[in-house]
Amino acid sequence: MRKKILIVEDSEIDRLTLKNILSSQYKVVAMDNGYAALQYLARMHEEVACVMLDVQMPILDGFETLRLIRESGLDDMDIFMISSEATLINVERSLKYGVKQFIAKPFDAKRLLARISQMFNETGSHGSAASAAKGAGVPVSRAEIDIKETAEFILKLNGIYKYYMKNSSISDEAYVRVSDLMKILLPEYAVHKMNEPYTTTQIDIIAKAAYFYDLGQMFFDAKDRKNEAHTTMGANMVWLNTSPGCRFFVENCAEMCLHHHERFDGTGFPHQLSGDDITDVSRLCQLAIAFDSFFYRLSDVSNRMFDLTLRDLRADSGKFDLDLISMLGEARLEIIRYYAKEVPFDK
Amino acid sequence: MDNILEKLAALGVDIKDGMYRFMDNKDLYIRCLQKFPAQAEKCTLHSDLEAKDYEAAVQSAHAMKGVTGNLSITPLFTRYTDMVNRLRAGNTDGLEDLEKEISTIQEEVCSILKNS
Repeated sequence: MRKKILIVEDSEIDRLTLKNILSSQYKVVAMDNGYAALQYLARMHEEVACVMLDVQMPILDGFETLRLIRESGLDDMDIFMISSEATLINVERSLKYGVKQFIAKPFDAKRLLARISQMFNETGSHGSAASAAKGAGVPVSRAEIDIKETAEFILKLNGIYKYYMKNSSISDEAYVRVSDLMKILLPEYAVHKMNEPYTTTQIDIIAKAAYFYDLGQMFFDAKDRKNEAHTTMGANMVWLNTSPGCRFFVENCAEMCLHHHERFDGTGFPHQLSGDDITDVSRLCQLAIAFDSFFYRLSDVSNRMFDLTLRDLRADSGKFDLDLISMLGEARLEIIRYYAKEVPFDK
Repeated sequence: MDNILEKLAALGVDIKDGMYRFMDNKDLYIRCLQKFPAQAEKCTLHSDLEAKDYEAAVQSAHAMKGVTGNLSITPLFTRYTDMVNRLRAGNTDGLEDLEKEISTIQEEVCSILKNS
C-alpha cells in the first residue's frame, strides 16, 4: 500500500510542484495552512506516514504547527521542514523540535524521492540485523550472530584504543566528531551515488569504524606519530579478526585505517591510489577528518565559517573529490546543527 | 503552449530544469507558471524596502526566492537569492537598484504569462 504524505505549504505553486513530485510514488494530501493540517491530522493521523511543513507560512508557521502537532500527541509521523535557507534560527528550532530532515527549495525531484524512500526504508527496518547482514553480503541466517559479534569486536577494539589514548593523554573528541560526521555524510552520499542506499545499521557500523581510522598510531611513540606505516599497522590490527560475522565492520574499518592519507590526485600514501580507486568510505573519511580539523578551529558555528571551511578544502587542490565537497555543502544544515549542539562555543 | 516556453527561455528561464522538476509534466509546469503573476502581485518587497522594513522585506524576498526557484525562473531566482543574502547580512547598499532589476524582469515574465 502506498504511504500517505501530508504537505503543508501556503504557496500554491510550491504546493503543486511538490505534490506532483511525490504523487509519482506516494498518496499525497496537500493543505495550505497549519490549522487545516492540524484538523486533518486530528482525524487521519494514523494514515499519515510523513508530514512536510513549510517553515515560512503566515499566521501559523511551520515550527508553530509542529509544536501544536507535538502537543496534541500526534508525533508518530516523520517530519520534514521545507525551506530555501538553512539559517541559524532554523537550525536552532530544528534542534528544539527534533526535526530530522530539511527539504531545500527549489526542489530536486530525484534527490527528494530518494531521501524519502531511504527514510521510509530505515523506519521500516530500523536496527534490523537481517537488513544489515544482507547489505554486507553476509548470510541472513547468521544475522543475529553477525551483529552480536560485530558489537563485541567494536567493544574490544574500543577498550584497547581508549586505554592507549588515556595512557598517552590523547583526547578522542576529534575521532568522535569524525565518526558522527560520517553518520551525516553516508546517507547523503548514498542518495547521490549509490543505487542501493546503506541501511541504518550499515551506516552505524561504518560510522563506528571511522572512529578507529587512526588506530595504527598506537604502535608509534609520540615523536614518531607521523610515521606513514601507521596506516598499514592499523589495518593489520583490524584484519586480525577473520570472523565472517564481522566482515562488514572489518573491511570498512581496515580500509579507512589504510587509506585515509591517500589523495584524489594519487600523491598520497601508502599506495598512491587515485580517483575512484580510493573507496567511497575512505574518501568520505578523509573529507570528514579534513573538514573537522578546519571547522573545529574556527571561532563559531555559522554559515560563514562553513563556507570558509569549504573554501579551504577546495583550495587543497588534488586532495579531495570536488563532488564530495559539494555534497558536504548540501549537508550544511545537519552539520551546522551537529556542531552547534555538540561543540561548545567556548572551545 | 510551447510558444510560452520559448519566450520564457529567451528571458533566461531554465525550461529544461523546470521540466525536470515537474517530472516532464509540461501541462502542470505551464499551469504553475501561469499562477506566477498572481503570486508576484502579492509580493510586497518594493513597499517593504521603501518603508525600510527589512524584516518584512526578507520574508517577501524569501517567499519569491522559493517560488522562482521551483519554476526555474533563473534570472529572478538568482536576484531574489542575492536580495535575501544581502538583507540577512544587513547590507542595505544598492538594494533599490537590485529591486528595480527584479521588478523589470518580473514584469517581462508576467507580461508573457498574462498574454498567453
